[in-house]
Amino acid sequence: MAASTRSLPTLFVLLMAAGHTLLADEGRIPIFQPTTITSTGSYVVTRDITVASGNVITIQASYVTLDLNGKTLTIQSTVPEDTVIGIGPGASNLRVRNGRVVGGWRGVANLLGGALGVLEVSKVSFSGHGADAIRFQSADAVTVSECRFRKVGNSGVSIQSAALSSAAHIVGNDFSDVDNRAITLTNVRSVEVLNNVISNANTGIETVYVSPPLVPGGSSLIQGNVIEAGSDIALPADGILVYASVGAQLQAALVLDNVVSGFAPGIEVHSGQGARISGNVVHRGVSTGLSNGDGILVFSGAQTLVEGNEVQGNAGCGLVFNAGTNANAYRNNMLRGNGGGAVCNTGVGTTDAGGNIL
Amino acid sequence: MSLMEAVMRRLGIPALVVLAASITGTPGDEGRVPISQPTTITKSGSYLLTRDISVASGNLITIQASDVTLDLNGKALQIVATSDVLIALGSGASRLRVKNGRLIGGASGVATIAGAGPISLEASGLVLLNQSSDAIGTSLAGDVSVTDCVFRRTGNSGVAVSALPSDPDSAVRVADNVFSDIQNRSIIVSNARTVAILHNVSSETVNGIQISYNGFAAPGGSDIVQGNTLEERTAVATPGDGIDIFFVSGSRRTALVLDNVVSGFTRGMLLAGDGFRVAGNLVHRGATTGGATGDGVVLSSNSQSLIEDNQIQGNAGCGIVLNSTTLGNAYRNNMLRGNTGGAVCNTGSGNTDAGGNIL
Repeated sequence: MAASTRSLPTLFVLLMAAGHTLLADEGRIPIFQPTTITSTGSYVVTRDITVASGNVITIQASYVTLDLNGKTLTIQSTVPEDTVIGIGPGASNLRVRNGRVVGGWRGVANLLGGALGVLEVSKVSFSGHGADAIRFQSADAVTVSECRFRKVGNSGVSIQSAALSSAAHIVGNDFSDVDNRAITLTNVRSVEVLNNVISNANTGIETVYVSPPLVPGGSSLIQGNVIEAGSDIALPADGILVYASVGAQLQAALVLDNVVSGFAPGIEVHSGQGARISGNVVHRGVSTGLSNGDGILVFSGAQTLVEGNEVQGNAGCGLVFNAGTNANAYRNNMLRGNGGGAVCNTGVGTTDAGGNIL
Repeated sequence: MSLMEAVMRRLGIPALVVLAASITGTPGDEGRVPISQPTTITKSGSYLLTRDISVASGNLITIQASDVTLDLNGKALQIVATSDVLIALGSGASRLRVKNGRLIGGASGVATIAGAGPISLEASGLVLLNQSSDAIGTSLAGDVSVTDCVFRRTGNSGVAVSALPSDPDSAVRVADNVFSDIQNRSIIVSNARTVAILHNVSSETVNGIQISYNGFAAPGGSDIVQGNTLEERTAVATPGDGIDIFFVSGSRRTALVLDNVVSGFTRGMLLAGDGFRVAGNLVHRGATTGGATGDGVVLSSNSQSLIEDNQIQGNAGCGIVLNSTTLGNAYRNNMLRGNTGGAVCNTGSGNTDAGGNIL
């Protein structure tokens, strides 16, 4: 009896603490140490968690919401494959938001293949990753919004899919010091990349459509992004690349109202068909040995329209239509001050539709 | 003596204090009323879902009050059956806000049911999965906002809003949503006076966006459809229209259709009404089906509409079609190459080629 009585205060405190946690968490399940989530539910991180290596949180269930609650999850090393928030087998339809993800090989990534369903990442700050901050393979519907990416060893957002119903909405994010691509989307059928700010990246934004698999179509809207190349990168690549492999040439994109600075080239359309590139500012293209530092390069493909852009101060040509291009057109562009000339056209059936300022 | 009484006495804590602590647990929820089971809300207020709820059938949460905020708190509501509504808006429901969670299964995620009156609805941060009918469906809508939601595997339309006839206040905003695998329309809005459909991305949808006005709406009416990316549904033999806007001619209603990417539909855009401006869009891969020739932009019965600065290429039919009932429209500065049926197919009256088209 005496022993039992002595234990009562402790029991009481535990009861009160447990009760308080449940109330404060509004029914969510608290996480305060490295954890593998195996049940559907809503989870909240209640303290900063740091590990030397290994994953911090592994998700192996569907329909999981993980609220980082402003806290920080850290892996102190950047050992390959260690992932701060790893998406394991059986996981799909996930939401991660509101906190900081630091270190490790990757920030949020699936560890294996398999359909991922709906993935949402918002208001998360990523930094210090050895490879990608976000990497989703076999993605279906993805949103990444209002996140910050800093000191990323490979790409900021890397999404791959082959699903007919795949769609991605990448909006309002900030990228800084990204060693490879800020945003890369492969075989995602409908894409919107809007109003992102990218500073000091090797490549800005890339949409890639390759076959196999050959998913019909492929549409992208890339608008309102501000993109600066890496000042400490010897060979910057494309500011914006819209790429389709041979055999997948029906991809098309609207590339509107972006500011692209310091890349080689600024904007490139590679294969594909029927892009419209309009209203962009493309400047400071740099010669790298691999690239002439052109402003807008139509590398291959047909029926692309380049109009109303401000393309100036590039080391190479303002506009380039390569020998493999066909039936493209340009007009109403401002093309002064480009070291290689205003327009370098070796394509077939390219139309100067007038209004260009040379 | 109970265990709790023993604890309180030992610590010198009056029972009242413990009771107060329990009650002030609700303020821990920021004053919101917790919901942890199927519920009918009959009072105004702010409600918080505190656990996932799944039922075999039946409406899961029914709202029968005005001025209700329902925070799903990142949790999920699920109906296993393909009938019934996850969040049903019933009699007395108006001025509603639903946010931040998952709605799985059922016929609809958020929808008006019998007895509902005029509705004002704000839905944001929702994921709607596997509804057999409309994911969000409202009739008698006053003003509706649907933002930052994801719709996937929807049996009918993603967002279906039918406005209150003749309501001069009706306004609809559908922005920054993702639609994936939609068996009818991603977005359909009927009879709303002001409509903004912005920056939605949709993949594998039979029809993209439809705005209609059948003559019962208030005078005037204005729409903007901008920055949407739409890919057709490959799994059907007859894909529908990418953007379909039709008004009764002479209604004085008009629309801006700007900077959209529309791919693979039977008609990229099918427009009926007066005074549209269709500019900056990319319309491609129009597909021939039994009922249509795969045209890019079709004006079916318009007057005084302007089609300019669009990239319309690679369609199976004509790039631009001005039907025989069109009058006094114009087009200019469009890129119109690679359309199998020809660049422009004009059988209307008084339509103007204002120059600058690239053929």
